[in-house]
Amino acid sequence: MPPSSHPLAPIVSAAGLAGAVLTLLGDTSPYTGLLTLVFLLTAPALTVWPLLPRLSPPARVVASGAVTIVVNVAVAQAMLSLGLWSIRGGVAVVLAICLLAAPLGVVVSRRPGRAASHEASEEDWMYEG
Amino acid sequence: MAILSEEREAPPAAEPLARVRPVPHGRAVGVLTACFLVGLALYWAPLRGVDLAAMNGYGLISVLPIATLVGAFVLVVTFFATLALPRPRRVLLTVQLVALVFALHGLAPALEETARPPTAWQHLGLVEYITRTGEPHVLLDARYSWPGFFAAVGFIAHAAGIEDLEPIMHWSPVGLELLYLAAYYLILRVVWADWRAKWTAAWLLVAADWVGQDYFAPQGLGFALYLLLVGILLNRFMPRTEESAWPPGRGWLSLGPKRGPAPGERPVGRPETGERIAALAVVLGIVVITVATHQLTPYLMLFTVTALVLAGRCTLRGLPVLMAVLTASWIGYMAKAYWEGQSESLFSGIGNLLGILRASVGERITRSSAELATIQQTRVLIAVAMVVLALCGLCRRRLHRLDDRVAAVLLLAPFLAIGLQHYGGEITLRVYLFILPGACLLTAYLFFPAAVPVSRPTRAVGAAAVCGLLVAGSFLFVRFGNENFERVRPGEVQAFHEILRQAPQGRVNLVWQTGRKGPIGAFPQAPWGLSAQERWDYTELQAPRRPENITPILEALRQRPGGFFLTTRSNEEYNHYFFALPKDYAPRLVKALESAPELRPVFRHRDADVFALRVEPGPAPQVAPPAPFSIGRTPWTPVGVPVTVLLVVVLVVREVARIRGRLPRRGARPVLRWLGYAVWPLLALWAFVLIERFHVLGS
Repeated sequence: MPPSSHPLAPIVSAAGLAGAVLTLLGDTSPYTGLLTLVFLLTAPALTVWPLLPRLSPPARVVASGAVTIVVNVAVAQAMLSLGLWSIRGGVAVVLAICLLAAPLGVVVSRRPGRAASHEASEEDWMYEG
Repeated sequence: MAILSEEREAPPAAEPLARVRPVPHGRAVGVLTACFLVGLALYWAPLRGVDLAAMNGYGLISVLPIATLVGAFVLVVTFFATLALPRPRRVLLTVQLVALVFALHGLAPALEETARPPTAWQHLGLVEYITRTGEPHVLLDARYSWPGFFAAVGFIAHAAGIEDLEPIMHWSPVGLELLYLAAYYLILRVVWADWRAKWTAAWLLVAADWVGQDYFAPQGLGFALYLLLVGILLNRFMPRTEESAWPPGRGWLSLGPKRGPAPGERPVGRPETGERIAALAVVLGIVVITVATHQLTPYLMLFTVTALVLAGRCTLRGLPVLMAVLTASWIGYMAKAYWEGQSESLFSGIGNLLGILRASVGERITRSSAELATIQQTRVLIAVAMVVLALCGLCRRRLHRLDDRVAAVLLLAPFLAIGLQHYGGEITLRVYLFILPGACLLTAYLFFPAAVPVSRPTRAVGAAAVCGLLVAGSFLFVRFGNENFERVRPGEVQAFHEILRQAPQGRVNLVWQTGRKGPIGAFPQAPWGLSAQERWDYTELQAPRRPENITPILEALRQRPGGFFLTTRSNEEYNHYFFALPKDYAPRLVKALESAPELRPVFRHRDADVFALRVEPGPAPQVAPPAPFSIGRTPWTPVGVPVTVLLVVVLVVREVARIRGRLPRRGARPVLRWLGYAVWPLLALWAFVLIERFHVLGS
């Protein structure tokens, strides 16, 4: 999971990752369910977060949130269409997608001159007065 | 940024008034906060004593206490009064907007015990079937041909260990409306307008959305995806003034005098190529899952994106072709079960514009119940008023020398869907939903047309508040007007579970009565199909003149084993309001069933009654296993599948090249130019295979 500027991001990433790993190991306790829910709802968004550095934070949240919807629906639909329906398999695929896409985010955020999370000059209507 | 820090220093809105320094501005915020809290208390507190059983033909509005309506009045006026402040109070405005979502869209969920409407329970049944079998039963229901939403809900719920989806279904309208607001924010942040116009537009999007497509359903998610798609396109692919979406002299609408009106929207930020490619990936993902999730939404996306490209407000010029290819491919291959053997009805709508309008507007107005007819006429009136107000707003902005192409596209492009298909007479409702993002923005412009905030907006805010009161009032009147039969009573859900408990396997023959039997089979007004969907048969009976005549019911139960007769209060209300069956029809029917010696009570409840034969005519027939899902075979299909994949890849590569500014001019980059040439034969071959499939499998 890529690093992110918000202090909560590593905690959420770790919790989600733990949930995904426990599900893959076959654990079915309620805590695992909760952590897996955290994983499915946040991991795709956190993965794509560093790839959209020039959006203002609220817009970035919305756009990254869209990726969560996209990944979950796409994975579920693909399993259904290919006759490979499996909850553990689906969680594994989501994890694989995030792990494959995460290096891209690291590359983007490590590039010199791009550390700033978004352009200070970007106008945002919420801040207008 | 200076304003931002100023905002942080301001006292928290909820702090008592006495502690705030006597600055008039801060006092105004305190007063508005107090008004808002009073409005909330007035709205919600009296709802405890509401008796839903006392509803008349006007639905929920007929049992709402006066205090609640006063509370709604206070909430609306407070919101618009907040807009009269010299600068935006973001926290206060956001809290009010969220409270409005809960007040309007959470009203029925808060009052009713179980999730509404009955259709949501069928969707629960689809989720149940998919997670149980891992396959879409495409022959059972057309919705299995677009199963993305159900599959995703089933996947996430099972992975999270959520057994009971009812709370999610119950509060889905509130959740989806909040999602719409978040996505609408992406659109609002690129338009060039007074902040008051933007907040008014967001408020209207919540208050004018009475169509009720935000329940637990794919179309609710589809609308959110539509807003997200348009929002991301406008944020990342709007041409800057120095780069035009079209080369000079091309494109229909980009022609015109050089020194015309200023654009009504402005690009925000300076995204780099990598970020735009990431945004393209998100856009493509949204398109792909929408195509797999809902039948109608991809068309509306296609119309709007095409119009944005033609209007020079989207630089991804190849995206419409890509979207058309994906949409048509899904229908041609994945949704084959939907059109197989009935290709006429699929395209029947095209061209028959007047007929569709008449069917979906005129014929939706009921004649048997005066109350229902009033509600339905009010709905038409609101829709017409919204369009008229929006067009006036467009004119007013034009007088301010602002050219609102994006808002105009968002308003007008969805109308193209009327010519598309009948869609069960519901198409105008859907079109109204999809014009809302544009209509709300343009209506807000009617009151606040300037691109920069004005200093004394009192009159404009007053006018907007009057409009807001009318919109919110009509929402409360029409939104829950069908609540007599659209709400799901707890006993109705229990009735279905009880039937399944008593008939654990084999087919179930559900017998029910309608006031008027139509030419095609219908379903009872009840949460049918909530579980084990593949086991149910539905036998529709015409209600006889005298309810005591139960012979048709007995015959239907004897004809097919595994029979149950069901009557629900929702279905009885539906028969009363739509087909004018007398109010005492249902109690007399239940009494007659009770005293029939051939029948035994299966389930007795204040919400529903189920009866079955004492002596079954035989064992219930077994359920045949469904044929596995396949895309179908034709001579050219093995060619069509790889061609479709290749075409999509080529089109995506071209869009990426376009973003990187590497689309070849004459004589340069032979590989990319070759890709450009390859599109046409691939497109022709792809279209040929689709037509061949429709011809071979459709007839």
